Amino acid sequence: MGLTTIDVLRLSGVGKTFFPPGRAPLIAVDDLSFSLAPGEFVSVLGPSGCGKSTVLRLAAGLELPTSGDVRFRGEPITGPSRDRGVVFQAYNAFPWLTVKENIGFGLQEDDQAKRQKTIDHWLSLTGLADFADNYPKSLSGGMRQRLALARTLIVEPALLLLDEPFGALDEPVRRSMQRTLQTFASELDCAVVFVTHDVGEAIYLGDRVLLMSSRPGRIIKIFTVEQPKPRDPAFYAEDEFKTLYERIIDYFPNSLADA
Amino acid sequence: MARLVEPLCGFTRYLPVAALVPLCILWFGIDDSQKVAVIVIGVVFQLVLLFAADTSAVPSELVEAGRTFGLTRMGIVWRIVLPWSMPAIWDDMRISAGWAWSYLVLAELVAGNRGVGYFVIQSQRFLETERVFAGILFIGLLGVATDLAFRLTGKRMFRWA
Repeated sequence: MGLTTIDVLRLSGVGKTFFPPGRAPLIAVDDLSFSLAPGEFVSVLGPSGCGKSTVLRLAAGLELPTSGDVRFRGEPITGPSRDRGVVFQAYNAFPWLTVKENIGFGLQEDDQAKRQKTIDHWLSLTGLADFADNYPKSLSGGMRQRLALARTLIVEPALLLLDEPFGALDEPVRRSMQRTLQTFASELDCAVVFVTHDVGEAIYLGDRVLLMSSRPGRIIKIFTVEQPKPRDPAFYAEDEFKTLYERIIDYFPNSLADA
Repeated sequence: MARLVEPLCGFTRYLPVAALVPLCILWFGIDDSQKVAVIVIGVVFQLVLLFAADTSAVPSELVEAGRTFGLTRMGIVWRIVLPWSMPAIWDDMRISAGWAWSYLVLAELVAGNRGVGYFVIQSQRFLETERVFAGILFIGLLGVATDLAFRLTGKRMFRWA
């Protein structure tokens, strides 16, 4: 029963230095500590190149820390796992699989009927049912990103890691994707780390907003968003949102400007 | 592994196939096994290097996506690297089928006891120039047909590309 009290994700004094051959070592993140409770949604906000993506890759197990300690449910992370789903910025649907096959890629279900049912469920949740037999190349950007979300969420990960997933989308599509994500995350009750450089998006979605400095990336401030969930798009116009927005912009004007 | 295979293939693929025909005759005689041997030697080492290049071009994001679904190394190879590389592999096979044709004819010209190459060389011996031309034309047509077959099946199989 202790499981529920253990943090889903905990980073303690984590540093990551890259050693590109023939060039000076690159300190991506330094002395990073934060933890994530089950079901919590944390936005990681910072300027381009501040090591946000590195945080995510460390949590995914795609990178291992140079110093410090990254733990998932109390266990040190040694590599990627199905329990930690990742959606990247680039649309990386598998081009040789149809939409339907992409969604079912990670699903471990041998019973064909059940399998089909689960896939159909996600196809309709993401509004991709009409495109089930299409290849990803014929989808729009928003559809591809919904596909990527469905492919990751169908596995029901305990932790969802998102790297600027809506970065390349138009504002209206972006807004609707934000709502979709909020719904999915609360339905599956998974914890989320959401990396973005969009201040509004970070506030709208996050229970907390972690503000990172420029390289080497460190957490310089943590903001808490009190507004209960699920949040309406009307939250964008409310006072709490505006106040937080100004505070974050004030706190970090220079680096966010060049993001 | 790459460091072991690459120099070996690199060396072997520069050996002129024509020079290997006499050796193949000694080892395999003058029937079909000799032709097969010439084609295999002429094509396999080229293809190994081409396949290596095809598969190493798989985007790292796709491999990483596969890893986040908990795939093992073999799982990555079977479910990501191979399906992604298949169109390029198929195309390389199409090109090497062209070489294979010329090696087959070469093997038959030098030491066949039947086949188109044998037909051509027999016609040359009897100074029947028009039959030589017919043979050459036939070889060319077969080559074009193989190429076309590869192209069409490739198009059908890899509609996603």
